[in-house]
This record gives sequence, structure tokens and C-alpha cells, in this order.
Amino acid sequence: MKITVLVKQVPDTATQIQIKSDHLGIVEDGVKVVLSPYDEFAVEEALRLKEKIGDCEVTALTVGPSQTAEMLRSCMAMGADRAVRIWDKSLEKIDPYVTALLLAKKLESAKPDLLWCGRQAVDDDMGYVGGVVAEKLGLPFVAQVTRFEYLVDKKAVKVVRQIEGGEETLEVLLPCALSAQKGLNEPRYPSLTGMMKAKKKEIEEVNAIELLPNAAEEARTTVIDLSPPPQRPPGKMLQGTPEEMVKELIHELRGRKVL
Amino acid sequence: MILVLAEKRDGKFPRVTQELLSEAIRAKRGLNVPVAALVPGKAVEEADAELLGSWGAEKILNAVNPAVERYHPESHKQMLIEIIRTQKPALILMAGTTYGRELASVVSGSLGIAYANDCIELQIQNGKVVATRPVYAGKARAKIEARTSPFMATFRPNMCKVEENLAKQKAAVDKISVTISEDKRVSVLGVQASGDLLANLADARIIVSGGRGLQGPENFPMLAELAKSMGAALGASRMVVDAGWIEHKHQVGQTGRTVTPDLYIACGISGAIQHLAGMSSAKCIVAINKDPEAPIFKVADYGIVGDLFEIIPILTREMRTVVGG
Repeated sequence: MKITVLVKQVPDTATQIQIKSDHLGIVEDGVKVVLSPYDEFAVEEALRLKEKIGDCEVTALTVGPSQTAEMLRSCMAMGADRAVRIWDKSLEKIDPYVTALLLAKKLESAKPDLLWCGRQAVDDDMGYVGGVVAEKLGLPFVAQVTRFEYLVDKKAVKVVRQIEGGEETLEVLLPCALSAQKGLNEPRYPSLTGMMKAKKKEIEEVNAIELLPNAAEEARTTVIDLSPPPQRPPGKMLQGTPEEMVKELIHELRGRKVL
Repeated sequence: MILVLAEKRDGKFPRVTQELLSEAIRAKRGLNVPVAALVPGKAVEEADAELLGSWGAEKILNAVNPAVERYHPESHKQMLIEIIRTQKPALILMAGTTYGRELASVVSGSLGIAYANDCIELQIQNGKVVATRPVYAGKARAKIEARTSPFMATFRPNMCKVEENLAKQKAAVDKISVTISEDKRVSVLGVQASGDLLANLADARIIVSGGRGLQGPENFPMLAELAKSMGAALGASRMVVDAGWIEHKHQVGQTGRTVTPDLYIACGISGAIQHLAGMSSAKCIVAINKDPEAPIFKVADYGIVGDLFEIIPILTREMRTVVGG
């Protein structure tokens, strides 16, 4: 079986975001970057299936500049067999639709049986690219999976996903695409031998413009401004005994009509 | 037209439908096209036409077809693609639920439509749609301009202001047929309603949330009592979810849910940046913590420095008398 995991490198969730003076991007210098946490669940789930069924190749695929090679190495250190990076320096401000087109183009010939991605990358929080790639490849897509089971006899997967107010169970024939939600698994740390092996492995590099010559024209949206969220007005520290503070709090909340 | 996907949940239209229609009315001022609600599945009733009309829908497109009575990824996709192709809306608005986000990504991808998810505001500038949405889990806000038309957007529940005092109009119902071919690749085996109102963070108007200050999983029931006393959902910080004190569906923050309730009560949560990102656009924030230096107080409208185990029971008792829960 061929499994491809779509991955993205993002700032660590513990980092402060500093916006550049042009209000179009963030300051990247000195920011710790990681494999997006939901993508990490996706990689882990792919590796677990490989360990279970054996005959299986797991590929990590990204669109990103050379710095993202580090993240691909961590995917391989976790156990991914191969890694592919698509990029062209003209793509500095890449639109998510273009990212999806590039990924889909690359996968057209590779034809994975199972496509995994995270529910969203924790930078732009779009939760979009996986669904678009699935659609371009003609694969059914199920988002936000928290439990996964491979049904070998049926050549299908059984998945459970979170929905508002409950859970939903679906059975989907392979090939298909899934996005991983937290709760799916506990990702492993790369082992030392894994890291050593990953260092020696080659990352396949694909030029984005050769893949999709009109990439720039395919953009559907433009980020025209990036700003910090509005400052909250200074709060009020309540004083007195617990009884007094609670009474005052309730009085204030009712005054603001939030109770 | 501006098309709002309006689907009933548990037999009635959720509040987010009204919020989306309000957003549609505001967008209409710039786009000058009518507002239509797309209701898939069963035939709409008189009362539905009155309700959606009073929320601002001029027209209801009623796609009557048993295949879309409840959500099915492939059937809904086929329906929405066909309707966008035939009705040519300028703007398509949907709720940012699991289903809504999934559907929006595949439909916008399939048709190559400009899309932004989890929007909090739309503006029409020179006929172009500009969407504002939180990024980095709320650590920043991005304005996204559409380069092509139509534009599709999902909105986070409880985020858009509802338009009050609209004229009591009844929406005209236009029954349309859609062709849906059954896609056997995806079968929905079942839905297990959790029946757990405490876990429904997405729609909650009030969230009571707990962190490390609770000292252990055995103390979450105390917080659940407070939540129940005020009809709130129960949230939690990443640290306590990762420690296994409570399930992930309760997690608020960057790897959990980003929430915008009217009222957020943070109990024993210090306020790590991932958590603040996920809740700091709540309309009103209360923080209860024993450490007066905790970062959570920087975003709180009301702060109480004190012992949770003393304050929460008093607060629960008082809430019961006030809210009558």
C-alpha cells in the first residue's frame, strides 16, 4: 500500500507571533519551527498502519522552501520511507489553492491508496488543502478523524470523527483521503537511530514551476493585511472576601448581559 | 445572490443560521444581490419560510432530495456543486462546523472558488470581498481579499452580530431538483450523539474552563457542577488534556478548539499562549487563579485572586439562584 502524508512546517505553538512592518507576514528569524501538530498525528497513524500490515510505503510530502527539509527529516526519523519537497523561489507568498494544486499534480502519477493530512495547519488554520487535493485526485475525503481501522478484506477504512454534539462512524473504500484530529494517537518521538538514518536519506526535490507552470496565476486569494488581534480593555481585579467577590462578579456579569 | 447554507440540527435551525443570514444582509449592502437560504433535504414548511424570512432570507432554495436529508460528504458535495453552477451566487456562506468546513474545502476546491474559513467579518471593498479571519489560533488576524468571484466563507458560530428588528417578511420558497448519484465509496454507519451538553464548546454561549489549578481529574466534577449551574459548556487547558484528566473534545486553544463565547470563566488556568490564542476573543473573560501574576489576568475583564476550592462552590451556589439552573 502507498500512503502519502501531506505535511507543513509551522511556528511552534508556544511561540509569540511578531508581525512584520509590511503587515503581510510574520517575522520568521529565531522562531522555532515544527511539524504542524495535526500533521504529526497523521504521520503517526500512517506509520502504525505500516507496522501492522507490513507491505507499505509512507511518503511525507510538502510544499515549502529549503528550511522545511528539517521537518521532512523528522518525518523520516519517525519512520517515513520517503520525503518530497516541492518549491520554487518565486512562490514566496503562496496561496493555499496553489499549494493544493501543486500537491495534487505531484500525486496524480504517484496514486496513493491512502492520503493523510492534519485537520489544519496551525499557522493559517485553514483546514483546506487536504480537501482540495482529495477533490483534485477524485478521492473521497473525511475530515477530523479520531479513530482509524483498516478493513483489509473490504479494502476500506472505518473511521470515527468528531462532529458537533457527538461522533460519526464512516466506512470509506480505498483510495481515500482523511484528515487527523487530536485524540487519534500519541505520536512517537523520533529514535536516535531513526534520526541517524533520516540524515542519510535523500529528499526528493521537485520544482514547482516545472510541475505547474502557471502556478502564480492560479492564486484565488491575497492576504492584504496581517495585524495583532485587538487589545482587550484593562480588566478589573475584584477585592474582598470570596463571598463578596462572587456577589460583585455576578452583579457585573448581569450588568453586561452575559448571564 | 448571496447563498446561505441553512440546515436544521435536531429539528430546528441553529442560531448560526441566523448569524449567517445577518452577515449576508450586511454583505448585500455592498453586493446588491438578494439573500437566499439553501435548505437541502425535506420540503420546507410554512413556519420555516417565516422564520428564515424574519432572519433576512428573501428566498429559500429548497433542494428536496432524500439523499441530503442528513449530511453525507459525497451527496452534499454533489448538491452544492450543482446549485453553485446553476444559481451562480456571488457569495456562499456556511457554518464552520466539522461538516461545513469539510464541505466547503471540497466544493471550493472542486470549482476553484476563492475561499476563507473561520471568518469573523466580511467587508465588500470596491465590489471585492475581503474576509477577516484569525490565524495562528488567534495570535494574529488576517484580511484575505478574493481575486476571483464567487467567494465562499465559513463562519465560526457565535461570532457574527445578529441583525435585530428586521421587517417580518416571509421568504419565497423555490423548490429545485438536484441530481445526486449515490456514491458507495462512503457509507455513514452511524452517529453517536454524546448527549453531553458540557462538551459542546462550538455553540456554547458560556464556557467554564479548568486547568492545572484543579490539581487532579477528581476535581473536574466540581467544575462541571458550576458549568451545569449556568448552562455552560466545560472547557480545559491543553496541559490537563495531555495529562489525561479530561477528554480532548473539551480542549480550548491552539490544538483544541478556538472559541468565542459571550462569557469565558477560566479556573486555575495560568494562560499559556496557546490557550490565550484560543479564547481571547470571548466577549467577556473571568479569571480565577491563586497566582496574581498569572498571564490569564492580562486578558481578563474580571479577575479573582483566590482559592478555587473555596470560590467555585460559592459561585455555583450563587449561579443556581441567579440562573435558576
